[in-house]
Amino acid sequence: MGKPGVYKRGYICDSKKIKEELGMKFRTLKETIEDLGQVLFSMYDKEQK
Amino acid sequence: MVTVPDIVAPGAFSAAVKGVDSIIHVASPYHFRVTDNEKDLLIPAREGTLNILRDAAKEKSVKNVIITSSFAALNQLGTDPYAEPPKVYDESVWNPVTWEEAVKGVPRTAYQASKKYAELAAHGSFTRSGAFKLIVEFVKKENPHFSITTLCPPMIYGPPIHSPPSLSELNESNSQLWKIISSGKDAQVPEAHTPLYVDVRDIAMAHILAMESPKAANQRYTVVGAQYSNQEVSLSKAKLIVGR
Repeated sequence: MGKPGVYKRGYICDSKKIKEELGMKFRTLKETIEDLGQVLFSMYDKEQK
Repeated sequence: MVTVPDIVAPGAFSAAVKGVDSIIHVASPYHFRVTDNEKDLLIPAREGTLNILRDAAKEKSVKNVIITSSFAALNQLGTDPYAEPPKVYDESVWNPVTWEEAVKGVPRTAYQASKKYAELAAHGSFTRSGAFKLIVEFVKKENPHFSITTLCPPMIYGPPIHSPPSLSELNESNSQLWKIISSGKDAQVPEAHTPLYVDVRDIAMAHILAMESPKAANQRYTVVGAQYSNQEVSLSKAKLIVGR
């Protein structure tokens, strides 16, 4: 799946300021994709019917 | 939540801001189906921001205004996001795109400039030490009684709170992700042009934290959940499909 060489990192931005000043916490990519995927695949299934 | 018919119209927000304590300004065009960069992206972003600030300035109850800017106000189109050493972004960085370049450029350049000028319309630059300086025309002229906070998220992904009418009408960000999630198992995975993201629920929370915390007054924040690659998205997709 995919092509070699694209699994690499790009820009760096750690948002340290908002974490430290406002106590911001973030979800993981896994949580985001899984929750979004559920919604989108549900829409996909409805559109296929 | 208030939606106004035209954010560019003078006084567009005057009724909406009556008696409110805090304003979260999220409206700004983000799509690349434009025919006129200035009319479709630049002016609505800048004037929409100025209009809400002007209307807020007339309403004494307003204590703070939180503006959704974008990571696009920081990064420079055309630079390789995967260059070594990686570019480090923080709240002191602004993209160098000029209004004139944006008018003539591709829509993505225009979008970047639209977010930069909308944010600059709200407040000015930061010193390297992070100390904040209000230097904009609006602030000089109006001397507002409220504080301004801008939030700069990169790509925003996650489950929409509303029900999009169809997959073909997803917003720009989720649409890009759906192309990867729905592509075939042998499909090529493109590089992410902005390999940073934040979950939509987290950026929503960032607005609330900014609204509630006095520390956020007159500050600019990047709101980045993490770096990501489309390959990671693709691998998550595989797990999603298997789990169905």
